[in-house]
Amino acid sequence: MAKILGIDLGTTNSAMAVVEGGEPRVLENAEGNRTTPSVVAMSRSKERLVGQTAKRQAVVNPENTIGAVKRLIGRKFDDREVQEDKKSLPYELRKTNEGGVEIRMGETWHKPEEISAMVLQKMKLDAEAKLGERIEEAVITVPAYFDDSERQATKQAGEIAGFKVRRILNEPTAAALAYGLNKKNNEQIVVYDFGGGTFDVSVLEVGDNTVEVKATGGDPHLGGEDFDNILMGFLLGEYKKREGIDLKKDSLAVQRLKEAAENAKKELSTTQETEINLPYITSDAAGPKHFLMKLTRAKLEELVGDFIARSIKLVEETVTSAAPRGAGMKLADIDEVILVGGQTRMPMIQEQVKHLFGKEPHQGINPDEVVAVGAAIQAGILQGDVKDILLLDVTPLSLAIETLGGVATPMIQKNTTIPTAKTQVFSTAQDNQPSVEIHVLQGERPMAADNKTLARFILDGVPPSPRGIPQIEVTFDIDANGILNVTALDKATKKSQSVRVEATTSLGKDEIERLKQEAAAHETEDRKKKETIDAKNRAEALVYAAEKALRENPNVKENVKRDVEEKAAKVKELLGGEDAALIAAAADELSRSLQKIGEEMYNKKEDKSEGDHATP
Amino acid sequence: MDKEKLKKCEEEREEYLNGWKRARADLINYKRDESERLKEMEGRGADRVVRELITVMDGFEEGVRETKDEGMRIVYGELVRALGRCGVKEICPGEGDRFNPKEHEATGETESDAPEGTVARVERKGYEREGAVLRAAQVILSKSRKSQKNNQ
Repeated sequence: MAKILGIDLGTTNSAMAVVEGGEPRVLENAEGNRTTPSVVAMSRSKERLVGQTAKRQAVVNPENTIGAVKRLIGRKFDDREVQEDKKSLPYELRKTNEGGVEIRMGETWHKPEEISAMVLQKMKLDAEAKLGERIEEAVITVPAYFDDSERQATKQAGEIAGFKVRRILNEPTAAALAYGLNKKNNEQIVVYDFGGGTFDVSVLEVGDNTVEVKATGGDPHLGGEDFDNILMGFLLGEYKKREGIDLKKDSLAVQRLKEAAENAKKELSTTQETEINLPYITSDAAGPKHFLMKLTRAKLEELVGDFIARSIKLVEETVTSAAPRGAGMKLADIDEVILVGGQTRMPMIQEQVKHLFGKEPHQGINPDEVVAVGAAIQAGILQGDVKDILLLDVTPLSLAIETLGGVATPMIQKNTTIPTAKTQVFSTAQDNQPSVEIHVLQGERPMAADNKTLARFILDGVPPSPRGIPQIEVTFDIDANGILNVTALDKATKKSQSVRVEATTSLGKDEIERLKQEAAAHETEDRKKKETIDAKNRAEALVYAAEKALRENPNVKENVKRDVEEKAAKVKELLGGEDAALIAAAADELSRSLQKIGEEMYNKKEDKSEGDHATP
Repeated sequence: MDKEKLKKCEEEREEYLNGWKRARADLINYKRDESERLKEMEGRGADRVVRELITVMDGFEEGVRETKDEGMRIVYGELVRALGRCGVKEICPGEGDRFNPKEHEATGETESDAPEGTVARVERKGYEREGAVLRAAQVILSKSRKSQKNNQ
């Protein structure tokens, strides 16, 4: 079954994802990055570059490095926006006979959709290399405000790149899909998308598996880059004030400062204060100079506060203004808010959005990837019309075996796909134990007594040996029909016993649910019980080890011997009770005393080694 | 009747056998993919650490150039060697080398004797690990003196 690629074709960066085994997965490009710059270039050596490589030569080849074509795709040359953008774009534009836009790259002129196609083609090739299979189809996202011609041109870009474009999806709708909000009924959703270079806000209405765009707004020239620029300006200004040196003229210093400023901005999303340290940033007559500055979150917020306030105002307008400018709703009508775009990691943005709507925004999915994830989910829905050939069952509850102290030790965890088998080696709990009982359990509780018994059988004929020595191999095997076979094998004698349990999946749905709920309800109490048992098992093993040590080392000093005996007696006494902490403390003391025997032995004769540890 | 039954059995057998083969293949493929992914994750963890260290290396390198302390020089050398053992390699093109945007990032231009469009000098070294560029070397490209005049 061929996969359909979900693509977020962005103004500055693009991302892609597929659904694999029912789960969306963001794909890295050939360079190993989860986003690809939406940049294409014709290098001076007449080589076509796409993505990161194109970006890396932009400084020396700006007129042939084409970015932000999303601002031009499907538009008329005479559009006010195109004329406006033309002033700041470093490459040359011209009007086609049909009134559209063409871009000069190297010697040739290209339509914006051809440029976008080059980005899409790289993503297609990278995705194919990553997945090791051909990809023919794609879902591509566009801003909700894109008109028909912009959508058509985006679709054509996909087709030029070799895709069959299954759907052109609105970006905010993709974000809502990523959060599973398409399943809601009659809900109003606001998507706040603060990207690198654009700010979009959309109001959606979901109902009956349809998503309708009620209103869109935003500012095509407001983004995270503005934050970086204003922060850079501040840092350069501060340094000049303090040191009297203008770093702006030093391209390396500017480059280093830019990286450090971006990192500081990111860091301040999780900390209140950060340091920007750039040793040897420059030098003067007195020697090398360093850039050392503390930056607080409050300062950053002060610097970018106006940008955020502007975005919040735009959100308010888009929601409350009467149609067609806005959705004509009250802020209180909004049921869900989604944050998209890397800049929304900033706590101040999250707080202000939360404050505006009085509710917690959705932000669990990486905001740089949420649109691509949504596109992949849409693709998954489209590819879902092919039915899965083989339906595999799972075990609804865990299967376990009872071990020392009445503990249920899981062999096969719940929700394991069957058929499956699992083998584990157990041992005896007592010296010269002639047989072991295999108690097969079903359920989620940690103690055997609280779970359902499926079967019990005994493997006997275990040769006499100290506890922990015999190796009993227990295998749980569930076949495709849910029939469980449990086998116990004594590895020394090769003697084995087995039992067949037919009814492992015959539990009704209600019963399974009940058992799971019961497990959840008893979690704390059960854990405590298990802790007690674990402490007891450890203490018992220690007492056993102590007695063994005293037996095998009759020459131990009298005071050490008495100390160990007393401590062991205390542990034994406490074992009758249920206080895990007391037992653990007494066991610790015994353990310390025991070490003294060891020390003494080693001091006496260092050559004789002491072996064997009993395992419960 | 029996013939029909046999035919049905054979069909079923074919279907089950195929399903079983497919499942086996799926598992083998999954295991392979998973081990690749694990290797990738491991590499990515290392890459993250190295990326963080790169900017520290820049300053360290500069400091070593300034200092007269032989000990610091040795410490720096050891750090470079430790990174080398982790597979980290420097990207440091020489003057006149061809500009390669896969490994280099052009941050400016300057007049120089090197052929036009080639590397005039390296501003900051780049680093790679197992073929993945962790940071491109930041280079100044050469602008030949003649073309400079032509432009003016």
